[in-house]
Amino acid sequence: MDLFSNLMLGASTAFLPMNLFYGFIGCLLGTAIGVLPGLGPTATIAMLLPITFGLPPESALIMLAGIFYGAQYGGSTTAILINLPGESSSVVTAIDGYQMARNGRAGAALATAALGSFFAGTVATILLAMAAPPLAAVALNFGPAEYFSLMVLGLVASVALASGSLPKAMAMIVFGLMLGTVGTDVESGTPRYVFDIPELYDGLNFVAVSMGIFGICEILRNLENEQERSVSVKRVTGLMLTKDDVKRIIGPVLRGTALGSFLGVLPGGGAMLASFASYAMEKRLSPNRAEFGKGAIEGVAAPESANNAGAQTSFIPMLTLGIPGNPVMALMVGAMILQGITPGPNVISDEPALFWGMIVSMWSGNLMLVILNLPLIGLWVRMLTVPYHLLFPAIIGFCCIGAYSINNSVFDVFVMSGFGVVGFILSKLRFEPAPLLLGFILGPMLEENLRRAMLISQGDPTVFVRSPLSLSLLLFAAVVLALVLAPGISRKREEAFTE
Amino acid sequence: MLKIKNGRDFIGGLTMICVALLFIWFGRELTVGNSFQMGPGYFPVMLSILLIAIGALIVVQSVVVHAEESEPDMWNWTAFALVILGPVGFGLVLSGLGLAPTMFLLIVGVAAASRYANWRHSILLGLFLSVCSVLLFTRLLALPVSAFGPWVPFLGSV
Amino acid sequence: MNLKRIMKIVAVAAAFGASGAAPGHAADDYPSKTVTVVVPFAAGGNTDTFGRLVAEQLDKRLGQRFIVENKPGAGGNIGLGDLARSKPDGYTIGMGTVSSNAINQTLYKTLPYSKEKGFEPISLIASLPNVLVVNPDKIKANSVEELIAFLKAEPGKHTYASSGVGTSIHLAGELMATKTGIKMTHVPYKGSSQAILDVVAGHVDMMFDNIPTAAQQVKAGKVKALAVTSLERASLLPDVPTMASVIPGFEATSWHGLFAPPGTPPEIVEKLSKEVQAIIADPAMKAKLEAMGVTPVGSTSAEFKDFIAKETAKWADVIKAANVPLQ
Repeated sequence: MDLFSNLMLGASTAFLPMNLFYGFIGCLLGTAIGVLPGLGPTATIAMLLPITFGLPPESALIMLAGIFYGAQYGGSTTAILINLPGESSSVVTAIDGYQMARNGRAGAALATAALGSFFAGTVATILLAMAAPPLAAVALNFGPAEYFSLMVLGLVASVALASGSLPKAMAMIVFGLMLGTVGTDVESGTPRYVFDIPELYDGLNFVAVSMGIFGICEILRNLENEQERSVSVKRVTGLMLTKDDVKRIIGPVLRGTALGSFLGVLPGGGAMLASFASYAMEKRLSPNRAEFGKGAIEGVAAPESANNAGAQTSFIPMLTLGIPGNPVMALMVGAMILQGITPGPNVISDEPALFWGMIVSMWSGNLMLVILNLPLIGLWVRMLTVPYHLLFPAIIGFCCIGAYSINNSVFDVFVMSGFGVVGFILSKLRFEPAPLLLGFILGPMLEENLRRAMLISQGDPTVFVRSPLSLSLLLFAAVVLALVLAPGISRKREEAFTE
Repeated sequence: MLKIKNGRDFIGGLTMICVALLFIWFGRELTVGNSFQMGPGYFPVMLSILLIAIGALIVVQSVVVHAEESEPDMWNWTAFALVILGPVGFGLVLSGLGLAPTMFLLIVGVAAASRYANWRHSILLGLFLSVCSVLLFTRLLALPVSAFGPWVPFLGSV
Repeated sequence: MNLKRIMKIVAVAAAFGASGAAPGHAADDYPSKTVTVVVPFAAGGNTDTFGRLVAEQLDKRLGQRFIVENKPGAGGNIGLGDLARSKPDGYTIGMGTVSSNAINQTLYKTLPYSKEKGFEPISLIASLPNVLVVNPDKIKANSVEELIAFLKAEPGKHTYASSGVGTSIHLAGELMATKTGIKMTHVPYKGSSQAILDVVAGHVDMMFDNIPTAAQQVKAGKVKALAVTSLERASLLPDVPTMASVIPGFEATSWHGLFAPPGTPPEIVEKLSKEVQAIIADPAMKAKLEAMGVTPVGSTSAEFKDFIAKETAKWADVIKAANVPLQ
C-alpha cells in the first residue's frame, strides 16, 4: 500500500480527459443548482441519476461527487447573498455572511468561502488518502450513547450562536427540538403531531422549513421598510480580500478544517455539526468576537472550511465500510449498485482505480470549483444590484419550485409558506431563527440516540458515563455550558444591581 | 401592579408558553412512559415543560429588565398576504395549470407586494421566469411537472 | 418551436380521440402517449432501480416514453395514494413493494387509498432475499440452531436492529421470534445503513438485512451470515443455508412489482404484464439482476394477485402476534 503509487493510479484515472470533463460538468451543474434556492445536492443527484446510467462507473461517480460539493458550495452563495441557506450546513454561514453582504462586503464573504473551502477540501482529501481506514474505525466507536453525548455538546454549542438574549435563544432551541418530534416516532412507530396528513409521517422537511423561516421571512422584512433596504445595502466595496482579511481568516480556516475533517467522518450529520461547532468556537476564541452576528469574516471562514472538510471526509464511511453516512452518500451507493459495484469494506482492494480515482478527483474538483467560482463572484455581487422589486419575485418563484422538488409534492410548498409566517412572528418578537433550525436538525438525532441507547442498555442510564468517549463528550459539554452561562449570569446580576 | 418594561418579550414569553401548551394538548394521547422506558410522548412533554419554564423566565425578565432601544416596526399587510399566499396559490394550481402559467401568475402576483412594482415590469419578469423555469426544470432537470397542465386547453398534457 | 407545438397538439388530440372513441380496443393502440411510472420511494433505492430498469425496457419495446416519477413518503403511501387517484387508463402505473402493498394494509389504520379496491397487479418484477447477519463478537453461534439455543439461554438480553418499525426487515425478526419462541429486543433505525453500521460495530447484536449490502460485509468478515430468508439459497451467498431449512416455511423477502390503478382495463394490464414478463425473461436483464443479488421473477398478473393476498395475510398474522403498534 504505497501512498504515492496509489495516488498515481488515482491521478491516471481522475486526469483522463473524459473524467476531467465529467468532473467539470458535475461541479458546474452542482454550483448552478446550488445557487437556486431549495435545490440541494440530494434533489439534484436524484434528478440527474438517470443521466449517469450510460457512463462508466468512475466517470459517473466523479460527476455525482462533483455535483455534491458543487451544490454545497452554491448553497453558501445563496446563504450569503440572500440569507437563504439551502443546506443544513450553511445555516451558520448565513448569519455573518448575509450581514457582510448587507455591509457591502458580499465579494469578500464569497471569496472567503471559496478559498476557505478549497483549503479545507485539499487538507481533507490528503487526510482521506492517508488515513481513511483508521478514521473509519473512529466512526465505528460512535454508538448510540456517544452520539447522544455528541448531540448534547452540539446543542450546548448552539446556544453560543445567538447574539441576543440567552433565554430567548434557549427557547428557540427547545422550540426547534419540538418541531423535530413531528412525524413517525422511530422507536415505537407511533405517529406524532401528524394530524392524519400522510406527508407529515416523515416529519417536516428541513429545506422547506429553512426556506420559510429564513428566505420568505427575510423578504417580508425587507418589504416592510423597502426604502430603507435600498440604502442599507451599502455600495459594494472591494471584491477581493484585503491583507487584514487574510490575516483574520487564517486561524479560523485552520481550526475549521481540523474540526470539519474529524466530525465529517461520523455518519449522520457530522459535517453539519462541524459547521456550527467551529462557528461557536471562533466566537469564543476570536479577538473580534464583538463583530460576530454583525458581519465578522471569521464567521464565514470557519464554518465554510469546516463544512467543506466535512463534506470530503463524509465519503470515508461509504468508501471504506460501504455504509452511506448521509442521504447524498446513499444516492451514490445506489448509483454504484446500478453500475454493478456494491460498495463494501473491500472496495479499496477490489476497485483500486475507482477508489483512488475518486479521491484524486475530489481534489481536482475542488480546484475546478475555485477556478470556476472566483470569477463568478463579480457576477453574483452584481446580482445584488438588481432592483429588489425584480429580485424578490424571482427568489419566491425559485423557492416554490425548490420546495416542490424535495419530494415532488406541493405539500412542502405549503410548509414553506407556513414557516414564513412562523418566522415572521418570531422576528417581530425578536427571536433569532438560527438556533431554532439547529434544534430542529439535532432534535430527532438527540431523541433517537437517547432512546436507542437506553433500549440497548435495557434502561440503564449509566451507559452514557460508562463509555469513556461519551463521558468525555458530556464533561466537555458541561464545561462549554458553564462558559456560555457565566458571562450571562454575571451580566444579569450587574443589571439587577444597577436597578 | 407590576409594570411591564419590555412588552415585546412579555408577549414572546407568553407565545412560547402557548406553543408548549399546544404541543402538550395535541400530544395528550401519546404514551409518556418514564425516564427508563421512554414512550413516544416523553420527549415532547419534557421539552414542552422546559419551554414553559423558559417562557416564564422571559416573561419575568420582561417585567424586570428594560427593553433595549429598537426601531419601531412597520406593518405592510398587503405585502405580507401576497408573499405568504403566493406560494400557497402556486401549490394549489401547479398540477392543474402546469409550470409555465403557474409561475407567471405567481411572479405577477407577488411582485405587486413591492411599492415599486409596475405592471409592465412584472409581466415581462413573469414571462421571462416562466420560460426559464420551464427550460430548466421540465426540460433539463426532468422535474415531473408539465409546462402546461390539463386545465390549459389545446396545449395541456397530463 | 412552432412546428413542434403543432405536432404536440395533434398528438394530444389524437390521443384524446383514440382513448375516447373506442374503449374496448384500448389495448390495441396502447400506449399512444407518454406513460408515467410512479415510484413511491426516493431515487437511488432498490424500488427506484427496478422501476427504472423496467421503464427503460418498456420504453424500447412499446415505442413510447415511460417516465419514472419519484413520490416518496410515509412508507410508500403517498405515491400509491397518487397512483390510486390517477386516471385508470394505463398511462399512470406504479411500483409497489412488500411494505407498501402487503404490510401497510395492516400496519396503517388508514391509507390514502381504498384498502378494498387496492391496485391491479401487473407483474412481480423481482424479489430480494434478506440475510440474517450477526456480530461475531456478540453472538457465539455458527448456525441458526445454535443462535436459537443461545438466545433461549439469555432471553431478552440480545438485540436486533432493523430499518424501522413495520419494515420487512423488522417483521422478519418478529417472524423468527414468534416461530421459535425466543425473546430479543428490537432496536429500530431510520433506514438500514445506520442499522448495519451498528451491527458491524457491535452496538447491536444482529439483524436481517437486504442481501446486496449485507453480502459485502459478510465477505469482508465484518459480520457472520447465518441464513437467508428466501426459500432457495441466494446466488450472492451460495454457502449460506436458508431459514426454511431450520424453521419450515420461513420466508421473508423484499419484493418489488408493477401495479396499475384500480379499474384499469384488463387488456392493458395484460399487455403490460406480458411485456414485463418478456423483459425479465431476457437473459441480459436476468444476468444484470442476478449480479445485484436479486431474484428475477416476472409473474403473470393472476399469479401476482394470489401472491400478494398470501403475503398480506402472512404479515397481518405476524403484526398481530408480535403486537406491533398500528400507525
